[in-house]
Amino acid sequence: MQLKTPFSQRFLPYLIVLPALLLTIGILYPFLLAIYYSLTDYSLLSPIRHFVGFKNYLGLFQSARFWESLGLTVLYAAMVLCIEVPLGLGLALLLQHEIKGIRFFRFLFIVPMMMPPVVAALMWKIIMAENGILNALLGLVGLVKVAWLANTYALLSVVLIDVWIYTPFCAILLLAGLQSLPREPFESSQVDGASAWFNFRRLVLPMLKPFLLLAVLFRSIDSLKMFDIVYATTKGAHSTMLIQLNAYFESFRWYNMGGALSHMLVLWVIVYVTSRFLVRWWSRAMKEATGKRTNES
Amino acid sequence: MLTVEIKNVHKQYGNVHALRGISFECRKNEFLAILGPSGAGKTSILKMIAGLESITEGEISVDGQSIRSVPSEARNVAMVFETYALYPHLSVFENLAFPLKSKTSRLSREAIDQRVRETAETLQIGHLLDRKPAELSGGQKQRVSLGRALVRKTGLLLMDEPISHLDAKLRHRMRRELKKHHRTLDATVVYVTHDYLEALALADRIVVLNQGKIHQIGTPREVYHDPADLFVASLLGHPRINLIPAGVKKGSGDGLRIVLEGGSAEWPVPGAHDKWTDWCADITVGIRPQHIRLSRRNAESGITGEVYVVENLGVNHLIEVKVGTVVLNVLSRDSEYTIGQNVSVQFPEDRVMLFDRISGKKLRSA
Amino acid sequence: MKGHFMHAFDIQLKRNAWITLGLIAYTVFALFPIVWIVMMSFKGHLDIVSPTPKILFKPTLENYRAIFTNVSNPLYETSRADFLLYFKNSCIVTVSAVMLSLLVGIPAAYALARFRFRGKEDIAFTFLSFRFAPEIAVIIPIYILYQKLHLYNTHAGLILVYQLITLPLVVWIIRGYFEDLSLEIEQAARLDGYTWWGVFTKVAIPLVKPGLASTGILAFIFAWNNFIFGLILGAKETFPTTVGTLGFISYESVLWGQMAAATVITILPPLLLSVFIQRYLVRGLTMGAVRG
Repeated sequence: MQLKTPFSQRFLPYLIVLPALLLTIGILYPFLLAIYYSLTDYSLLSPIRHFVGFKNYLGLFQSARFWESLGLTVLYAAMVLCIEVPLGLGLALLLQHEIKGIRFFRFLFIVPMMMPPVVAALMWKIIMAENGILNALLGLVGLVKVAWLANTYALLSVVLIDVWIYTPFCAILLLAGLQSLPREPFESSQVDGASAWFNFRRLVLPMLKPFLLLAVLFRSIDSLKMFDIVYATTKGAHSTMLIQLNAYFESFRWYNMGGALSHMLVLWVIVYVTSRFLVRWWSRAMKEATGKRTNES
Repeated sequence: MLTVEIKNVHKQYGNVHALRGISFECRKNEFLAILGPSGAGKTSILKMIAGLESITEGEISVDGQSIRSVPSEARNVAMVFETYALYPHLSVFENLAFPLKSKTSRLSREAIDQRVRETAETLQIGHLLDRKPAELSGGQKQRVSLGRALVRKTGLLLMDEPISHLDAKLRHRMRRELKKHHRTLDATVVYVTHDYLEALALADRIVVLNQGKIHQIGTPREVYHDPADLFVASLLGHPRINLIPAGVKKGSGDGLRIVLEGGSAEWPVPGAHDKWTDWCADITVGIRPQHIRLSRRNAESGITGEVYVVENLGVNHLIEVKVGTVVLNVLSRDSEYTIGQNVSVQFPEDRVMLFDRISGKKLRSA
Repeated sequence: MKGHFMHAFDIQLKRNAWITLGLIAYTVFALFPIVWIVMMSFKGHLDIVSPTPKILFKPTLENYRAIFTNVSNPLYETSRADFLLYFKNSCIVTVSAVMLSLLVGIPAAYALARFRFRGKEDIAFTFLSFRFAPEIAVIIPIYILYQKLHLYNTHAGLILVYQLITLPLVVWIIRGYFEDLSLEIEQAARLDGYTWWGVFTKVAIPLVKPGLASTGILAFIFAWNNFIFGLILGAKETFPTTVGTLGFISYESVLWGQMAAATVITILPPLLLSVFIQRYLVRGLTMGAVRG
């Protein structure tokens, strides 16, 4: 039972939250502005602004470039998820064993995640250069050189960089999940003569569901919004024009703010819907798995 | 010393109706125990008096003044929590001094220091003043918690099962100490517990509470020897009171006879039957294990039974006697009984209690 | 029996060997790029551009010297120095943003944890939604606004925008820490005569201090690693290091060595700080959803 304050102090919590709320409003106002601007032909090139209604959105849905970037972004997110979650799970399974030196590994594998993504992408840009170390290593093994960031499959290279940076996120989350699992069901299952694979499929995975969902939630939303990596490496060339990057160029190269904002709002809607859906799914999975209440009480 | 008055108080947690219209008062300097099983609503009462919970309906007044709109920090009340609730980041000394440093008290640093040391000495924790709560044993934590409540010398002291987490021996010792402290204190104490021994030992009066309703308010003697209903009778006493279903029928002569279920025995109604204000056909006979008399000889108008189990409890022996379908618990000093032996069972007239089986209330002679 | 025991022991050893192998393989994958770039930062220009990548080389500090001293090297283009300025910008903006978030967010977290009031969960969710918002959607209007308010290309402007990153973190994680505290201890303090402020400052905050520190560090790392806000709402005077590292690439040439050195300097603070928050990492990354 929470502290129940007498009626005379009913406004107190609002007062306490107010400063934080003010900062919040500072964000909400631009958001509302964004919606408004998306309905205009706002441009930095001309001071005149016309309300054009949904013309921007119509133009958007008719623009091949928009659909291409949307498709690429969704494809990107899907690839990232399909690699990072299983890989992270594998890594977590390795890291859960208490063998000698495990602490050493548990610290090191996080390092890629702790640095600025843009800098990580820059590092890979150097490594993936035409005469960079990666191609040199391939040459050593007898394989042919690849133009990693300059061919039609450049998106795959970007995915690789994303995997390098963010797999630790999935791994560390799933490791926490593995470590939180109770021992007894496994011991009892072992006594019943179950194989390790059976254990894994029927016991571990279901119990890990909340954690897997969390990983999917964060990674899918963050990859739909991906900007830093593509900006640092390809700037959208060779079929890597993801949505936010596209919007960036729309606004700051073509100065079509209104148009760019319509891009963004579509993305925001996608992200919002995805997050609501996933959060609800996660909430339910948490309740099933642990019987405990969630943060949203 | 303050008086507390609870008038027709209801407490609801969402859909759960935890307290249903309870009323009682606590007099100046009295040690009032609220006794009941867990979930009865006892802690809710304390928290409402302290202002930590809201009052759904009803009135609570301290010294005649309603406390509804007085915030906790302004009420002159101290509380000992069941979980001790010590401040983990402060030393024992600072824990005891903390209440004295709030804005409502105006003591100087030296006065605070002195008061803390005094209190610590009384509770024999003076040597622990530099330790942190994590380094203390359960008994020590409990004393610090008590000390923190006492240090402000408030007129009202609330205690929520303060000794229930201690081991039996320590509990016994603390019972005696609490009694001693109350005598030297100038405070009214409201004490919540589920242990009837604590209530009997410490309280001036006991409020028996179950599922949000008060069953009886009385002195320990009243509550033990003259329970208001079946619940109170079974709550107090170990081993539990024997409760035997019975019926009343017209007997020979003027009398009514009480017949034990199954027709296993009957004997005349205790007391003068015409003094009864209400009687019913279905009653429950209650008699405490220590009051039942067993003898190996056949008494004329007694009940016979067969010894079923003999359990050695040290000074006493717990003997289970099967009388028909009913098993009676008998507490006896005499241990010379063997299983299967036939004994005669006698219920002394002045120790028998009669209860209405349906309402549970005690039947009293007018 | 002995043979059986040895067999079981053998299996264990083999298993451990495979595990270690897998871990080493991944670690090589994870650390190789970093190691390579660090090496590159100590290489002279010729070593860097040599057609066969050099593993053995003579280390030199010329790259670091270049970015720190803003000296133009006759060998190639004027170095896009100002790196020190960028580093200073990062420090000022990141630290101030975190401070502001803590100042404003800790009381808000407490209110969300302990009080009951209408719209509480909506307010809490609003903070959370920043974590998921597409940045450009917010940046464009802010860009326009900032021009009008003269906040474009200012530290203050960036500090405010960085709240989008740091504030949700602070509010949600610290709210979790407050919720984990035993309510009875705070109730005891109320009875001891303290108002909510006294309880907040003298009991609640002292008891969550480790959480506060770790959250502050985590917020610092995320703010430091940010790129997009500095790129769009800052300019040459206010770019953080993250933007600065890209500045070594121009249409004419790429200053590889200096870029590598700048990269190393840029990643140093967050990497060093991450050592201290190992234990709190999962909680921070999932906004308090996982208490691990």
